[in-house]
Amino acid sequence: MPYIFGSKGKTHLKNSGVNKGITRITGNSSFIFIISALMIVFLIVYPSSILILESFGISKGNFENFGFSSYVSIFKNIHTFNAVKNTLIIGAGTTLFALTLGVFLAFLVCRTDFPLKKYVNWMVFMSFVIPHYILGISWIEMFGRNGYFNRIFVYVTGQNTRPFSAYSVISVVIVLGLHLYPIVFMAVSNAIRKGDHSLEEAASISGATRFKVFRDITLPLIMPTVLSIGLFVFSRSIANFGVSALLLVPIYEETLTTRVFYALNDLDLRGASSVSIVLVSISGLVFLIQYFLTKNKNYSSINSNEKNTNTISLGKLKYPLTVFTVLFLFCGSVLPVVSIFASSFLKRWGLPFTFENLTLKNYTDIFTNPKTFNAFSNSIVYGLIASAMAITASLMIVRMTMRSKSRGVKILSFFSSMPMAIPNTVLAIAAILAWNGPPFELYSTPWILIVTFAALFMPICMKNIAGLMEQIDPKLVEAARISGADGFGAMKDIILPMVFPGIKSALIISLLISLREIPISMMLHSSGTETVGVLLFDMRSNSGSYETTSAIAVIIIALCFLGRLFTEKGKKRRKYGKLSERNMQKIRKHSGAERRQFEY
Amino acid sequence: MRKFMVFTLVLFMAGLVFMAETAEKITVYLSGPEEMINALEKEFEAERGDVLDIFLTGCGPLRQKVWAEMEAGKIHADVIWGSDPLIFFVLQENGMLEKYVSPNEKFIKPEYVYEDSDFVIANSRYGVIMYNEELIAESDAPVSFDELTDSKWKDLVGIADINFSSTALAIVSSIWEIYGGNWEFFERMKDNGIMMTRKNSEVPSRIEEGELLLGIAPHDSVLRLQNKAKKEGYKSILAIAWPEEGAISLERPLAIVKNEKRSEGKEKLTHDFVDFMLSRKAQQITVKFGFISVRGDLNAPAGMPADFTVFKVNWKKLADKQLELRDEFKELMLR
Repeated sequence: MPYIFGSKGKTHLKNSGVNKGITRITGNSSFIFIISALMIVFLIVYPSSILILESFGISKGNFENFGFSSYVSIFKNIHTFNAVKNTLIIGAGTTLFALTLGVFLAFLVCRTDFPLKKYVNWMVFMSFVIPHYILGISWIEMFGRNGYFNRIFVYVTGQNTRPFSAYSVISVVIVLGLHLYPIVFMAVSNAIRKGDHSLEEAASISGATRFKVFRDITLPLIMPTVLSIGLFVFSRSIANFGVSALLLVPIYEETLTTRVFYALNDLDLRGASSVSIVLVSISGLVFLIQYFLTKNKNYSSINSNEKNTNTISLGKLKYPLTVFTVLFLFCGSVLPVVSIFASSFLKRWGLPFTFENLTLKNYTDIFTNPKTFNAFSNSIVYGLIASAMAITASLMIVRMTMRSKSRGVKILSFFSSMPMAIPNTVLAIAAILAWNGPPFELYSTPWILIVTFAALFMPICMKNIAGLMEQIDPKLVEAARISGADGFGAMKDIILPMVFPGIKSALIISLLISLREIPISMMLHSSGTETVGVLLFDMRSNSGSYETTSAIAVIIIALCFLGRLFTEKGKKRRKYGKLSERNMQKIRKHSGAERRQFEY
Repeated sequence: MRKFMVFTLVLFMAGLVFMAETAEKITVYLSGPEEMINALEKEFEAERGDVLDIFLTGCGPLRQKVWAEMEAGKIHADVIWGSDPLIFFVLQENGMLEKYVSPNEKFIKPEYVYEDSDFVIANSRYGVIMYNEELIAESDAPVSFDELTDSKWKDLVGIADINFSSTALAIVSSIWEIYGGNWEFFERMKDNGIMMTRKNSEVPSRIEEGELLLGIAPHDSVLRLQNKAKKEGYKSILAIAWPEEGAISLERPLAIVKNEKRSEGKEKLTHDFVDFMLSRKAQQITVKFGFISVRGDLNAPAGMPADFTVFKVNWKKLADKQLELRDEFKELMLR
């Protein structure tokens, strides 16, 4: 009978009582543990271990080249320091930019009498649905040498100088900042809404100025959220590949992610692995800091009575702030979409906007090209299969986490959330190393993309499912068990319907990611397994210009927009899943349990 | 929820069917303009049915894939059609190629025949200077690679990045050879703010869009963009300057990958494909897309000058030094 080694042996499952610290899990639980452990080992632990071993020169069990030489050489190389420097500038700059903007807008919308709150929400949402790579392309369309801003400058001043440049580390910071600030806005808005504003009122009554109230009361209250989301933004921005490749390649600047890609191009797998480990270490460190900073700390008190909070009057600042905000959001959210949309109808990007230069051909080309159809269907099919794998594993792990506190389950839970700290570029390198030969030859097949997507989706599925699973009343499951249902029966009739909205939302988010993901697709695709990410990254060059990419971008934005609307609608309709009447009757019939209303 | 689960299950099954192995086909790894590859595939499959599994990608990823598979000991392609000869010499040295003499080889011009090689040159193109003729008058246009280092072109000249493009490595190596085996030209170009693109075809595109004024890249994409403009009714602003040091002859080799386990049917298909690629019909298709035919009985594409200097590259020598040249160039650009 299998054992799970536990630190405290606390579980409501059978405890043998013979060996202290060892929790015995019986029947279905041990079976579920073994299955989910195998999945996590296969999807995450095995590729990660191979990556680490490769970076130390241990390849396929061969220790001949073991050593630290690749680490020594990358740290000796001055260009690695430049790549690290650029990566850190991008991380810090993006975090600062996104936090400033996100916190400012969240405060404006949630706590003041700013007049256009609804529109701010819409514009932020628009920024949120634009994939970062597409935002990068619109950045070039606006600030490139022949971009709209330079053209306007030449037209207005009559001079032949072009002051704006699209390619720089700062450009990457701005593009990623515009892409990531909506996450800050949403998180901080939630924190502000849930905060207890009586403290602010008390301070105001005591004569504190608005600025002092913000600095001494509001800011400390939302600080844990700001720190947590700031570190998340930092780790996402240092992991970015698409925007860095787009805006830094032309000027021959590197980041750690592009350096991994180049090392792979040079077939320096060991070098790619070592740089990957450096990148993961930075990312992992950030997550550790985040963990310790937010562990057991919650400065804000909960007050759900949001409507009773007094809004702060902006006074004389109201109109200047409104103009500034509207202008900024227009440039950051509306202009990129307008630019992409307009370019998608041009015969050739760069031509003047006259009627004879407009065409629908870019769209008809996309819809009549079998490769485009293939790429979209690949992204959707791979995304579906991968998310099905990730959802299945997540359901099992989250369920076990709730039932057992054993060390084995904790370790499993830790590994399943680990891809959150691993950049996609690194996941791809790990997949190449792990699946390019016996015992698992998945390279050059769709499965290498599917299993890597599944690893990528694991933390997302875990998070979406765990939130709802925690809200299930254990009595309900017990009632089902007392009524004669086995573990699978309880899962099918009680748990699955309850966490269904989480599953649906995880599925949609995973599908949206598979539609816009670039590094994994670029590094792992083969003949016939091209995805939308490959199409986006390559199409610009194949067709020669931005107009076709812009048309694809419009389609992706529309799909992302629909996907988000669908999830938002689902969230509004019900916070929790519902049990079917048939299942409820089963429970009532056998246990006489009180009916509970699940639908909200 | 049940409906949703059934729907997901059906999609899952459809996915498995979708990915299932299909009938006997040969796999061809290649790079080139998508429309040309589609036209060639259509023509080849017209009489044979769906027998080609085409892996079309950029020349850089193609080189990376072939090299990675070679290192792993097995190349998954049956036929490779590359963008330059650099990797083919390495493949031949490693015994990865199968020697096949096509009956159509007798039509190939002598300058495209490599004695004792296991590959054949299927077509060619020239590395040239290209510029925006609307902003640069013909009289002001550079006539040599050397003139591109003039400060008046600062930040305005582009070339594909060797990290992404294999042809770019071929062009960079050739210019290194033109300059007597040193990096002087690129050192000056770096000081002059040379811009990088991810692919060669992006160089003329960026010029046409106004992002760059000049560039170094293969000539064929300029001809295609000029044709596109003509067809769609707008004025092309692209022009080619044929460098006096010589236009770099970038030959595109075709080879069968050695595989003793290949079935007879597949073996015949690989031979048929090579024969087809050297046939008049296939060569005409490539000429239509701006490439130079290797056959003596076909003319150059429209838009090519009657006379210009060609720099014949010593590919064998560059192939032996390619990794060294790649690393030296990267070091220079990152400095």
